[in-house]
Amino acid sequence: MSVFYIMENHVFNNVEDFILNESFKEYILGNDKEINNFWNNWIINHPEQMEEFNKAKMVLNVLLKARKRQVTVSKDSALAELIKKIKLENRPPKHNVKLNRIPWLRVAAFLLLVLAVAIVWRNSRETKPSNVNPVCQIIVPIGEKSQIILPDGTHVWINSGSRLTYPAKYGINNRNVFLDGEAYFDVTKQHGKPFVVNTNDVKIRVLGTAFNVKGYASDRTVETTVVRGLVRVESVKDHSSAIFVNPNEKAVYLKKGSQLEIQGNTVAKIIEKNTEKPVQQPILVVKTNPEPVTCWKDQLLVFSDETFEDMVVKMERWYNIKINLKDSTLRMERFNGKFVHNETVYQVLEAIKLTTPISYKLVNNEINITRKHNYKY
Amino acid sequence: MGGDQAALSQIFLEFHDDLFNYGMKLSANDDIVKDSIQDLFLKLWKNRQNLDKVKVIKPYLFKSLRHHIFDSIELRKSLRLTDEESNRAFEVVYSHEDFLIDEQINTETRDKVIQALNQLTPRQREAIYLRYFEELEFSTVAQVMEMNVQSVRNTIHRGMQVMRDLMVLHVFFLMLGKSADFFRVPI
Repeated sequence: MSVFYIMENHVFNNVEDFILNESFKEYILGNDKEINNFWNNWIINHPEQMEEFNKAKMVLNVLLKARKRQVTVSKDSALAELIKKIKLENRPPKHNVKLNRIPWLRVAAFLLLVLAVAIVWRNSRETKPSNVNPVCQIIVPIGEKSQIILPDGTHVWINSGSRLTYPAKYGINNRNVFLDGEAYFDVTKQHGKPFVVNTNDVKIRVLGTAFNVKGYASDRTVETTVVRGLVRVESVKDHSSAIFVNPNEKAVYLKKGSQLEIQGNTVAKIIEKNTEKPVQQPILVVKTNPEPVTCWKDQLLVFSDETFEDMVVKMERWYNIKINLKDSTLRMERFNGKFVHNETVYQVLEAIKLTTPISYKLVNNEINITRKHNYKY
Repeated sequence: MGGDQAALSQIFLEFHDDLFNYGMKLSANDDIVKDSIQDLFLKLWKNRQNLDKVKVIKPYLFKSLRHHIFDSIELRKSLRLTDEESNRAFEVVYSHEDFLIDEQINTETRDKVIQALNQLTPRQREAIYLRYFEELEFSTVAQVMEMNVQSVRNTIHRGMQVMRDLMVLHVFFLMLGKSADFFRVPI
């Protein structure tokens, strides 16, 4: 009762002193019996402050008792709206903005779209009497990159030296595309209509996801790297090989005569070997960081702990130039690096030179790389 | 993640109406208020790992809403998207809709309170709103309005002085059921 004792002797000079008093506020709210009794007795003992007491009581009474909640929106529908926004937020951002930074790419994409539409139109006219299914084909030459938006909104980035084929009636009954080379797919979800990427060796089925497929004819593997969503990969020859791939994983399909060497469970590397044992599981799933695999579509040439040998293959496609590694001891050197689209092949080679003693020479439009033996720091 | 979303939904439902009411005292434009509440919770969601540091959620939400609404009004100003009403941050007037008609308080009294409230400065009005409509402690009002506690006390004190002067003359006798005597009381 010490609080009340203090209050007993407290001097309230004016109305505001009452109003601002915490206990007095509780008294007006009238929820606490003890406080009610206290103030009812207090005013009997302090009749000289009756005037201030009553004024304060009136002001607070109006404020505390007469206020009204006036909510004009339903909190449930507001919550539903919020949840919708959160779901959108959880999706990774689209890459449309980046497109604007690369004007030539926009022009190229537009021209390809025009071309594709023209082919569809021509094919649909020409092949009507026959039973041949008209197709659209996009061929991206070495050293170039392109992108296309399919009728269902699926966005496809196509890497150098690749070919994407799809039926003119894509999306009507099914969504099938055929890929030779490398492409990144950002697939629009459509219920009941899976999106299927066919390569010579594997079939990839998805609903709404983003993933990269690298399966050049000259490669020893077909690698499917998943950025988001769930992807099903199976061998064309063996349907029981079907395997599911989650984000940050890649499925590696081994073509005939290749063997997989796994390093630290994260890096997969193929070595060519005439092995007697047939590969048990033709598709392997390994953990991976999709970033270095998919950044080509953002015009970045990235090497992430890659051997010189693999880098050469990438650079040849990127720059449309032939590169010969003249020294076999260089082949297994590993590098990390990141280059933007307008950096030349010479800038890349100069960067390699900083850590590895090499020299290079341009002969007949081919680059020959040799190890520099008398290299000094 | 599902658990996080459930927790966020719970906070949303618990505080939405309070936030909306407070927001409507800061901007009369209910679109601004609605959007600001959405933005506030979306931001809350993005920064959900930092939320553990927030001990008491209500003042935090109120303070954040205050910032969101203020920013939104500033943005509209800069984009020249304003109409007269949404332009006046923290200057929303009270109306009949803010009050219930209680059997203890007749319409005349209510009108006087509204009139008196609207005579206050925006700051006084906001502080009184938070203190007596939302029943926040002085220290919490201070936190929301980013003032020190003594300034809040002074602000409310001055506000109440104005209210008393305006109200008492007209309606005091009505409240007490007395009449002419109180008219003669010098105030």
